[in-house]
Amino acid sequence: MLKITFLADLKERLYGMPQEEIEERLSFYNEMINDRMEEGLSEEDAVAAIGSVDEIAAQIMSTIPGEPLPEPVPMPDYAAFQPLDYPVEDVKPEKSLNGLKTAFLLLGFPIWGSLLIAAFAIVFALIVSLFAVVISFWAVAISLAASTIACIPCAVGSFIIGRVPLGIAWIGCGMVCAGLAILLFLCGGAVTRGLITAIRKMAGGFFKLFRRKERRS
Amino acid sequence: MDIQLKRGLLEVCVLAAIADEDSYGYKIIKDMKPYIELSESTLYTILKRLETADMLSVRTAEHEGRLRKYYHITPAGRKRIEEFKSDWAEMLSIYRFVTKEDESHVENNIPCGP
Repeated sequence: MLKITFLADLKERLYGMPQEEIEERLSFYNEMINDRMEEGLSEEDAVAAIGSVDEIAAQIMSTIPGEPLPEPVPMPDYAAFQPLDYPVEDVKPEKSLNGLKTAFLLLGFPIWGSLLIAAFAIVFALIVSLFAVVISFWAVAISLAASTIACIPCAVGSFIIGRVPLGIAWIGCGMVCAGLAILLFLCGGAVTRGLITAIRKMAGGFFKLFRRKERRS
Repeated sequence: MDIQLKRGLLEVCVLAAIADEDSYGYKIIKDMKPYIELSESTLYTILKRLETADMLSVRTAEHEGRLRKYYHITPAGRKRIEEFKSDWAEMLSIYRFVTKEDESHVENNIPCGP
């Protein structure tokens, strides 16, 4: 290990001590390494002779035999309690990312909020229009049935006043209306069932979309 | 060894290492090595404590184009060495008494032959 790496590592490890004391200790070790190198040791050997950064840091922190710990060290939790090999960077970005996420969510509300409202509106509109189709279908069927019933007095009246062809025409109209009404009533059931399944599927798909998003986040 | 005792001994050793002439960190470690192994961080702590107790003074001097700290013993430091010597003379007589006592004790306890 090079001297500069050793000193940088040690400095990092002593984080929390007063700056002045860190500098003093570093210059002490720097001098020790320089003196060994002056004696003919290579830089690597001189650093190795001092010992490992782990050992030294542990020794400084426990100071045996020595003065009480330099200060009640204001050590941030992650440095004091995590295993030494654990990269500190792994923890920090995670924390700040969560902060960022929250910030983006808050700042982006006007965008994603309006999009969400629009999505709900589209689904609501689809449901309403489908209902409208079915309702109008039934309305036509009922009105045809009503027309059939209305055709009966008209035909009877026409026969009474002696207008036989008009009466026959009314009967024809009534029969056409009755036929269409019967047809529509028969189809109506199928259309209604179709609407219900369509709404169910749509609602299911819509909720699934949200559940998936929840799981992802 | 008892930590307090060792601590006191190491302090006196370091004072003795700078008693004859001013010395620097690595030289102190080298001079003490035949008698007692001392790590850099321990030496740092001892030097610091001796400095605080006014038993040595520090000066920074240039050496080979870099700075080196030299440690100089003060009268208080010399006094500490003298104290240690007289303390130790007392300790030695106590030691002799203790070991003698031990021997006689052992002798008394040796079972005699039939």
